[in-house]
Amino acid sequence: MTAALRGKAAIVGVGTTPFAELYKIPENPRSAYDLAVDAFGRALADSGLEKSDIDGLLCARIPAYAHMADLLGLRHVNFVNSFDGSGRMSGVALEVAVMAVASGLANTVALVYGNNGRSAGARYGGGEGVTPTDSYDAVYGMTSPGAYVGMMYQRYMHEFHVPDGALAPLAINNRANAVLNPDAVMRSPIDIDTYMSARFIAEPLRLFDYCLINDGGVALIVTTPDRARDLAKPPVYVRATAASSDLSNFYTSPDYFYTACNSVSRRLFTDAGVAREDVRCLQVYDNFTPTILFALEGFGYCERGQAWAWAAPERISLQGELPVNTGGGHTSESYMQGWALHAEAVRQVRGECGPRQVPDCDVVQYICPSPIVTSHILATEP
Amino acid sequence: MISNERPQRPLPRPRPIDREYWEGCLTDELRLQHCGACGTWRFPPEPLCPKCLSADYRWERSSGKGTVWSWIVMHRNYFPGLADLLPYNVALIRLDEGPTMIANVDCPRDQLSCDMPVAVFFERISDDYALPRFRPATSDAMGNS
Repeated sequence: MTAALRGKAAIVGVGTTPFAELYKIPENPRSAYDLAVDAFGRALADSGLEKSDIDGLLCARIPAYAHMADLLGLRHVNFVNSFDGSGRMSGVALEVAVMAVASGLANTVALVYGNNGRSAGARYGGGEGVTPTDSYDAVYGMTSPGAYVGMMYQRYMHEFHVPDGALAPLAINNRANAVLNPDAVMRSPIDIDTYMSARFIAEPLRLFDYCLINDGGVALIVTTPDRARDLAKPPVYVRATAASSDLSNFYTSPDYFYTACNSVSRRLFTDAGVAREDVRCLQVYDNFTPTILFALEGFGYCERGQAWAWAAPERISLQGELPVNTGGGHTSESYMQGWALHAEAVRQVRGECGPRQVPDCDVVQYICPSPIVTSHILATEP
Repeated sequence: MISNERPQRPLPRPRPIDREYWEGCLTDELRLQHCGACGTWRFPPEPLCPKCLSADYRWERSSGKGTVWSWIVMHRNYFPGLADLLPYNVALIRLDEGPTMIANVDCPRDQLSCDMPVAVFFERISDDYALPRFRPATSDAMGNS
């Protein structure tokens, strides 16, 4: 029973490379490893721990964990795992770190992620593909998660009679928050005209519905509450974490991940002992803006088919009742496949977000609506 | 040296189990595996039934009919070999027999609609391959056009 994990893990270190600075120098060749090492160093300094305190290593989007460990100088860790480069793994990795320290398999786990997508010329589409379905789809010119989310949103529009332009407030809100974030890549405000006049990528999705492609690294350090208590910064407790999935050959989910989100939602809020009203802000995995709508509905913040109308600025802006993606999200801050959203969640709970700080931010939720749905409740109290 | 060759359009890369499917396409048949144990149809081709895990199956000609679950219009050039076709639509088709497949729908953009009925036809794309594509099915359940 997952309530057994409550109060058993805390995030005590967070490190992010300066995304905006990195974006200004595109010609610098960087590897995912370099970026992950940089982020780890920052997270370690942030936590006040010594490298010798780290006895667990989780790598994500890192081709070879042994090489990563070599670069980090972590030779004899007791708990090691590596996750593929899909964004759903950020939530999964934290889930695994929580299990590791809660079970005693490790005391202090470092989670490291590096993404040199921009330097490497990543397009997140058109490639060789992994499964037979990919090769079948390619002959029709079908590729990229954006196109699949586009398909889901197309049907969502059809099913719930949604007008064109309904996603604009989500993109505009992300950008407005990024304006207040000195490390965000895109900081010029956008308005409805900018949004609507931008080109379609996979229609109905437009340019500003899409995540960025940029370089960066993120690292987190997770430990037990008693180790966390001695450290300089207030611990950010993982009150609860839960997952479900909608797995098939396609990214598309027939119900926009509603069943999976619902399953996670029920367990998560019960395990955490919090209600939706207690959540002070939401970090939602927004590789493409429609996923924010799927999360809001799937986790019961509004009725099915209504999120597009519900997610108005008076609700989701920093001044609203449920600020969303307070750092700027994937479309404006940085596309670190959920990792920077985790960092933002931690910083919001700690009260470190300056001009974009949500007041009295004692409970933050992270949601990833994707073929693996994960969600966590992070809080000032265990 | 500048290449004058046009970029190649993506072609199928079949595994042994896909061969019958592509042979069917060359004869205007959408052949799918039909499980002998539980009757489930499947696509893409695989050795075992995802429903009951049986290895017993037969290749059978399917109806070629289905509906569009949803669609997008691709504007970005992900495949240089298809650049001339931009923007093109891509649909997720629910075949009447149950399996789901990606394909293009041969119709104007303003005719594309979720749940529209479609029927398969085949387009020769190379010496070795014909590709299943779909077009709006004009007849209703009663067979009236």
